[in-house]
Amino acid sequence: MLHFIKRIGYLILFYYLFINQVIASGDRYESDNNMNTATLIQLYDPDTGDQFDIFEIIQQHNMFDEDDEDWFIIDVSTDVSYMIEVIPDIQTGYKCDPFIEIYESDGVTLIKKVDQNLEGKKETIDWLSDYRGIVYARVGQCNPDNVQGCAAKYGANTNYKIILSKTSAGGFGYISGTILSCQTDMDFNKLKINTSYQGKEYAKASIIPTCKYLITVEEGSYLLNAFIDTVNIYSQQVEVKALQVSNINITASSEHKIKGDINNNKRIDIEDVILLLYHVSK
Amino acid sequence: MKMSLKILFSKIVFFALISIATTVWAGPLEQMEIPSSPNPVGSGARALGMGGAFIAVADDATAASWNPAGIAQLPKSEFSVVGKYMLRSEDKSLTNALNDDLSENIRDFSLNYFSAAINIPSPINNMVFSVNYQQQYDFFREWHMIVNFENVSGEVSYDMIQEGELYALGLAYGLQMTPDLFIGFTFNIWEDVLSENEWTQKHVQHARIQLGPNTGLSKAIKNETYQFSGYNFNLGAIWKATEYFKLGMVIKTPFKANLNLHQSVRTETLFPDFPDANQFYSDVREHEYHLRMPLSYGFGIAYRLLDHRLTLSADMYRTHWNQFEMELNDGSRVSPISGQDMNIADINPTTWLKFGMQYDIPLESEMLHLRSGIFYDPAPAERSSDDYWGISLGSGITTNQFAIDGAYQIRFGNDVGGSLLEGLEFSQDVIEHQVIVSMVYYL
Repeated sequence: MLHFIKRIGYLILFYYLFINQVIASGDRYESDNNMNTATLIQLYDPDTGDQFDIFEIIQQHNMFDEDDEDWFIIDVSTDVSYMIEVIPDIQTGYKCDPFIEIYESDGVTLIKKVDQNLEGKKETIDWLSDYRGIVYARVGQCNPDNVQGCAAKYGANTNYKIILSKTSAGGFGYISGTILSCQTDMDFNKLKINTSYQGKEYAKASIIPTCKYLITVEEGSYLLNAFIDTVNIYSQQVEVKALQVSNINITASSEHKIKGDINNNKRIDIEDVILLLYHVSK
Repeated sequence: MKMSLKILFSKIVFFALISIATTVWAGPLEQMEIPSSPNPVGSGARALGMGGAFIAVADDATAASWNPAGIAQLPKSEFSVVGKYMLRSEDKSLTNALNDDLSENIRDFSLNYFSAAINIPSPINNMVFSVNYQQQYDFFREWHMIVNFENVSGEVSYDMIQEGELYALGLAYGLQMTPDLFIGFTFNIWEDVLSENEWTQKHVQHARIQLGPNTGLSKAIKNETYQFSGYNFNLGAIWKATEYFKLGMVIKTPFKANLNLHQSVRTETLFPDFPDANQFYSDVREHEYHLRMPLSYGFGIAYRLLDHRLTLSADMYRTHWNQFEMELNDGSRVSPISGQDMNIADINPTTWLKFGMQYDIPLESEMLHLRSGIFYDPAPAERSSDDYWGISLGSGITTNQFAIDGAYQIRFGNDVGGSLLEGLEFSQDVIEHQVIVSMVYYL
């Protein structure tokens, strides 16, 4: 019996790996040109808000059916630069002449469009997001009936891959933002904000009494930290891009809870470890 | 309890994976920019006049750089020297740029190649040793731009100057195995010999950022010096298949080079309204990185016709840029091209295609040569290569005692370099003009 189940399993695996790829004519992500059935592509964990350092997500699509268009959902953060590339396959996508559009969450309001009318060549959108949450991207081809000079073709050899990625770059970038829960009469000498990597400090913030801060730092990826006295009250991974400002607000008050400080004694100690083990064992 | 341990374990695995992921690309970004053709090209006006399609031709002392088997074809000992004048124009396009003119012109005159080849007389097999000094890469680039910030009020000016060259001293040996088969190798020593094998980058950046009613001013300077050293081989063979038809092949071995990086960084963040908030940061760093230089290899054909007066040649040359990596101090490996971790970087090999011709016109006691060529010279970039194309023209005259050759080459690429400054819709149109003059003295 076990042998039989294994064989069935192998057959199913074989079907998905090979047969399904060969005979599929539409897209497994979105088969009916409808934004409501588009698949989510996410670059951060929507539950925790943690940024994954997965820099790109790739999906394979094609323009098999006439008037085919592909929708997908991107879950974006504010003030993060994204790049969407649509790259026709060299072997099987040379007839593909795509455009890319980004829409607001209603799927109607156009944010940005790119179409260079290049058959078999990639299209790229660089986009600095003002949004947090869901936006839509639509990839299609021009309609020869409506657009002069449009030579769009459908059917075979219209395969393309779509790549969503966060972007980077050389030189220095900036981090600025508001310190939330801060009062203008608080003792700013006790508050310190810096960027670090592997324990080494790479920049310190200028903090002004209007509860704003500004950091100049080399392009790269760091931990953004805030301390009151010497207690670490905030840590967040941040990417700094050359010639660009990352806006990050920091919650900092003397009442700020320290991560891992289960007994609220303003420090992490053996009592917190015992409490953690106690909760885990329950 | 059993279930809780399972959850605890899965959480540990999850956070371990996240922490591995977050080590990617962490700390300051390390990226290397090679404005010249990154493909390991050869030298000389003869070869470049033929569009660089020289692997199967390789019949002068510059052969040590194209195909070391070719030096075994030298009938005499000879000295050669090659000079190069380069004008590179980069016309940039950038979101929110405030200066109208984003074009830069870089000029450089340099020693491109020098060699001394000694022919060992032999009644049976030709044998040649040579010492060569070749410019491999140049790093000349300047950027000057002023950009409006997208998400806050303010602007930033950025000036970057990059200078330097990498040279390799080559010790070459070529041997005629049979009347039709030639083999050879060049041992390349990438060290400070006649000049320092290094390049420098200087970044100066000033910004004004408005935070509510308050103005923040930022000044930042970073100076970097990269010193490069290492060793590798060029291995080659040429086969005269017929009286008219030759085949050539060359392999340039991968190698692990030392890359010492000296960095000094200074930043000032100032608020004129609140001097107490001013921050100053400075740091001096020394890094000992390793660069794994990629494998490259090429094949060429040459065909002579019209009573040997016309030579047609074609080369295909492939470089495995996906193997090009920088090992940082913490053991992480990044792509020098994009600065991304090697597990994420998507750099593809490039294939260089070259076609050339030479027509010989006999004069009274000299030979006049006319040359031309075209080539496709892609540069590695994240996800897809940048396309560069080129045309060359050349001419020369050869006597019993000397040869003088000149060549002009134009290399251009449109909408390239997007991965240099991502997030700002950056791209540039590049046009590079080169004039190369070679002089050969036969002993």
